[in-house]
Amino acid sequence: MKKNLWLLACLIASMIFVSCGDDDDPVVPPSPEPEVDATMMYFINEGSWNVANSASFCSYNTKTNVASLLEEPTAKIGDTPQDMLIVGSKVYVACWGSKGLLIVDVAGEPTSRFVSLNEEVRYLAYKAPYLYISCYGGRILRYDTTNGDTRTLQTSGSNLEGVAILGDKLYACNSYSVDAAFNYTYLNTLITVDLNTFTEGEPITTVTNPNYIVALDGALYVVGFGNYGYAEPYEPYMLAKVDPVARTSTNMESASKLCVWNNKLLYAYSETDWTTYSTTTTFTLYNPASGRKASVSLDSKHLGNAIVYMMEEDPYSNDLYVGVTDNSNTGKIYRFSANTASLGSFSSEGINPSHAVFYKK
Amino acid sequence: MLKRLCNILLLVLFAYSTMCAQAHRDSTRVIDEVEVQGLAVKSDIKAGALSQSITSEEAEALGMQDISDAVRRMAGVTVKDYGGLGGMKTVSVRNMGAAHTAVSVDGVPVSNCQGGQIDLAQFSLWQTESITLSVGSSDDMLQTARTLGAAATLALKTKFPEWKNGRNWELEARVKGGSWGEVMPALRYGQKLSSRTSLMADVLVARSDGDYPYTVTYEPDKTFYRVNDDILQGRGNIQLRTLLKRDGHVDVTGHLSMQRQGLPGAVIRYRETAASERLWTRGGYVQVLYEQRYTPKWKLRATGKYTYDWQRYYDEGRQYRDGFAENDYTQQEAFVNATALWTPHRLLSVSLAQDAANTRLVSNLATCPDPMRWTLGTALTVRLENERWRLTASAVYTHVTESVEKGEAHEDYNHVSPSAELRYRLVKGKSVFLRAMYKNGYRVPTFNDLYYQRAVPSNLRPENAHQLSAGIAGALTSGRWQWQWQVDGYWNRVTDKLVAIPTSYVWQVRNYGETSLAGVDATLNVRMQVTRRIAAQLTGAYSWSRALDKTDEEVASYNGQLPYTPAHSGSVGLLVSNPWVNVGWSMVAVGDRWVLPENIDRNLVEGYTDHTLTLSHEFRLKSCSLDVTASMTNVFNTQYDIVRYYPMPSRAYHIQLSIKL
Repeated sequence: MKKNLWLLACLIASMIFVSCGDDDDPVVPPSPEPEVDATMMYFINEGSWNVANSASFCSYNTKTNVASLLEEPTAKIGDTPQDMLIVGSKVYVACWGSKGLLIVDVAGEPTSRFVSLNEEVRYLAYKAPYLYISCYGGRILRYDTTNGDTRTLQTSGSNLEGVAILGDKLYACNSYSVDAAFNYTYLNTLITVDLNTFTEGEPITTVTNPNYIVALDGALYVVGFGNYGYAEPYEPYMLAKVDPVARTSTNMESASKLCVWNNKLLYAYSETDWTTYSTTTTFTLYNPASGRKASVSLDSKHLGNAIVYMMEEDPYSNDLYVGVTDNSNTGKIYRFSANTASLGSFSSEGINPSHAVFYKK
Repeated sequence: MLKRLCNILLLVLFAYSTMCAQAHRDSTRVIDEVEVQGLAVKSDIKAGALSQSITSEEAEALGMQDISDAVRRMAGVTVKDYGGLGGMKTVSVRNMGAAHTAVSVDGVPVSNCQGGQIDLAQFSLWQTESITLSVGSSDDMLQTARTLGAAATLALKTKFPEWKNGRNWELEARVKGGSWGEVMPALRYGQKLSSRTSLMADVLVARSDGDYPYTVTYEPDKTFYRVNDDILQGRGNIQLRTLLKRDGHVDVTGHLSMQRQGLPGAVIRYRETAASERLWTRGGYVQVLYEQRYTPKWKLRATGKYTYDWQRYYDEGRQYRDGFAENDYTQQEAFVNATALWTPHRLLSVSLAQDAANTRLVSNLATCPDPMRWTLGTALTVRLENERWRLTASAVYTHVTESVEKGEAHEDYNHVSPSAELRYRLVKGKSVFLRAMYKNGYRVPTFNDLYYQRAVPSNLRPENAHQLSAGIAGALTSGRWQWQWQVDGYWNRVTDKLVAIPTSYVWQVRNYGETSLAGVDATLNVRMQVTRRIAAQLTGAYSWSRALDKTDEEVASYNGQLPYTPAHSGSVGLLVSNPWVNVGWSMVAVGDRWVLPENIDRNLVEGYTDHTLTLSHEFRLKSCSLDVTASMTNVFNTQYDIVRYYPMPSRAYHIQLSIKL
């Protein structure tokens, strides 16, 4: 008892001593200034095809312009991450090769865990409290982010790719099917799912081999990969605008990547001339309100002949990040302001930078 | 398939009996058996460029488990091994790529028109007498045009009874067991049918579970076990050999094989225990080799071979409409060759080789156009040789024409590959040689390169490899010591490399790439006869390699070391033969490598050493011998990958009993 009293006295004395200290005392180091303005960008490198486990999870501090690998999540990231999405402070990464979901909490020091789903997961969309995951085999998973419960919907689709939510409906790109003899059939529908009942609705016909989809201003924009020239007649990459109410799809022009930027649709088209081995990439900005489109000059010296693999908008600053790849060397990410001015570039620290999310602390 | 092979075999035997009729009329002369001890000067030393050989007896005494295990210890060789008994094993010489290495069995080339690379796992060390790897044209002037046109050749010689026991029959039975369920029984029987004609038949069955433990860098404290790595295989040979007058002979060989195996694939994070790919193969060949010296000036070798290979690939996954994929591939090749050697003067030899091959690929793949290829090869070789100098020059012309059942065939290929070798004996009467070589090797795009998933074939040029090499080789005997060594430097340039590159989101093969390859290869073989019954033999190989990507100055990998190409690699083997227990120790050391073209830490795979220890003893009971061999591979239980995330087996034990009657 005497010992406890003695400890209590010491504690009180030390508190008095601390509270009476001079704030200007040079011995006490100043506390670091909180980085209230810093937006963290988290991005994935998909890795190289046929080189297992070469994927990585990285961060980029938009204030200090420093990119780095996140050691712990990197050690646990699955194979061939396909898509990522942020909800609150949690980053969800769909890992196709590892057939599961990597969840990284970036609120503090990033921590991660992996949820095995045993599905060939592809792309992600979110509507509270559910995460919707498109999968090969025509399946859509509904993952409850509050408790981890999962429900599966077997749709009429085959291999589903990009997904988007508009209103109470989810739209999934139904890209292709392949039989046991590797006979490919390139499909041209969007699978629709009523989110209230989690049941499948009528599909919408669109471009061949749809892969990417975004929702903007009440419409859906879909990039179809065509048939790669594997069959005749050749069907090229194509961007289409889909009216989900009228259930119509209108081809726009060739595109291989798209994103929403400043409430407009930005799309890129990379085309390689195999006689000269040179790739030409063009960027176009489409204003859905006016229906006008205009070419955008984005650092044509560096991006004019690069294969664009990532286009993401920072929702806090409207800056645009464009990731490029050659599929075997470290990728590079270029940054642009909302008025297309170049803000520099940085190494992606991995192969095939493909997706990014943004988090403001 | 079996019926077709049997029919062909019967036809061949009929022709064979006609050809051999003359042989029985020749008289034979039996000379007393002479036992020669010591290390004979290998023909490798006399070659015009780097040449290395090893007998299966030497390889087994050093604990080598298969052909690729023996080959990977040679200088200048990069073996890609996906691990396990059935894991694919390909050999690239001086970093030119596996498709530049021709593989031949008993002088007849083995082909793979579909993928181009020959998987060494399909050959058995037990059924092989010797393995020779040559960069140059070797001493053999009777090679086929196909092997002469390749940048490097791996020649396997099938084991055949040597009739040492004085009987007219020979029997060898062997059983081998090892870790992870490895069991390998084998039987060989030889019968002398006459003084000149012999028959040999062998059969081998092997099985393994392949579920060896491994660890991964991202979770080093946990032990995983390889899954879906099981294999069951059977192989059989039947060979009829007749010796003809004037050193001639006719060999007729029939070979059958079958294999059923899992494909464990790369270790995938969070999916370490899942793998669903399976592979079945069945195949065989009938081969005839006829060699005869008609006059002192004329010699002929003619070969004919029909090969049939069937393969089924199976995989499961929800991406497939029916939940699985099942692809059948059937390759057939008919190959004939005749090479005539004319020696008009003791200083001059001229050979002319003519090949013709018809190759077909049929698959149930919807996009496979079922291509058929005719390959005609003509090779002219001229050799001038005296006691000091030897100059060999050759040119190989190849014409390739194709047709397809569906779609459009690629246009014809025509190519001339020149080569020249110069060898100079430094001291008259001594086996010390200076040598230099230029050789142009090339490879025509494979069916996969041209037609895989293509409605219209890719317009591809052959890959071209230019090799320059110079070095010194020698053999020296001094008292109880015998030394043999080779040191060669080389500079190669490979242009129009065929590489799979992305077209935004899919991959296609293109002529895109150039590499500059320089290096030094050295071998050493030392034997010491300690006493009459005790001998020690030390072998060593070392390679320094600078294999650089010269494709595009704008990309980060430019001037970087090529993937899976160590700067330093080597091997050491020590064999002590004695009356009690023979001891063999061997070690392979491979330096750091990169898995991707960019030479950065993230792509680095650390080097490794792999040690093997072998103890063996032969018990002799009259004319019967019992050989017991115990070996431990990967003695220090080193965890390493040759191909990243394809872990190699950890420490393993093998025991082998062999009875020879």
